[in-house]
Amino acid sequence: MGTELKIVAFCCEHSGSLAARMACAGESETSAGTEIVSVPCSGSVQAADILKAFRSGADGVVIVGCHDGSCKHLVGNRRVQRRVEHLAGTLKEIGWNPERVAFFPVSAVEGQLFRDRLAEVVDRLRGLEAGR
Amino acid sequence: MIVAERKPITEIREMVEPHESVLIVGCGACVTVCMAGGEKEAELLCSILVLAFKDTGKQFTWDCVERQCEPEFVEPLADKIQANDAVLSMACGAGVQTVVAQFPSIPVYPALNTQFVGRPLEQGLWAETCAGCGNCILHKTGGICPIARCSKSLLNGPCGGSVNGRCEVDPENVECGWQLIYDRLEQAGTLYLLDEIMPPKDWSTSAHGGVRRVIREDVRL
Repeated sequence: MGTELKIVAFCCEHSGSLAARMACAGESETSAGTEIVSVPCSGSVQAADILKAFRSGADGVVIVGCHDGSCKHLVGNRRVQRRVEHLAGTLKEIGWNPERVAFFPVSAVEGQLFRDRLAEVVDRLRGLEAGR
Repeated sequence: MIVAERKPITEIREMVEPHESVLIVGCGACVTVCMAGGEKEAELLCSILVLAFKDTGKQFTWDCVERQCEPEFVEPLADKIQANDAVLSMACGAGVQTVVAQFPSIPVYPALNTQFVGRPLEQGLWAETCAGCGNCILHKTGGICPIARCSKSLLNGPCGGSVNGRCEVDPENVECGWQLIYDRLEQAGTLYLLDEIMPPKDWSTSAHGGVRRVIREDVRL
């Protein structure tokens, strides 16, 4: 999963983190350019957390949560999706590309899906103008 | 509580553009509850502005006080305020003006549009329930305010536009205040209260009457 881009991935500890671990088996997470931040639920990720990641130099932020209907906290995954949609509007207003933030769902055993989705994000980010 | 919402970012950007360092100040009271100007929102707005003005050298910091409408809570921010070119207040209009009164020599900008006095109906939805008219008659209308919740502020029943409990001004979003009053009084067994005809309202006690004050002589120093 090597990439020169810096990506911060907020991963639900019940799904995303486990899938990431499966996907990253054998690789150093930090050397791959993707920083995995484990969270109790994707719904706990706030807009401020996402923007802090950008302030720290992230090129992209992904939030990886549970599939719809599988969230241990019922609708945490839906809450964060709504938050991301709203934040996309704010990013547009300040001249940042909203495609730098994304949410995707995985289950704990979908390591390959995690890799595939992350690769899509990386491809998308590579096509964006640097900086914003 | 006072309900407010944040101004569009484009408007806020224009306000702070001329300044090199801005302190964003939240308020822990009403605007925290309506998720417009509390600690979370102040921190978020700070990050938004840092990113918006990236590579310009402009500095944005944030803080939050218990209640921005009281000088005792604003005063401790003196050093931080004076270390900046401007303040972006995330309080309601009362809070903004308190900061200005305390620190008249520094530009203070309102980050919010103060909307009304109201309450939450569900998470993320607040509605106006009190117009601050200065002469409360809620005991006569089943606890539902005809000034705030009737689009026309009628005092003696609904207008002809009340259909199926909806208000003709905006049937999709607005219930007829008088239908609500009638239903509540009926439920409480106090429909007789509607027999009292209310005279034309004396608006001098409301905002229409000019700048208002409340004085408690017994607690003045």
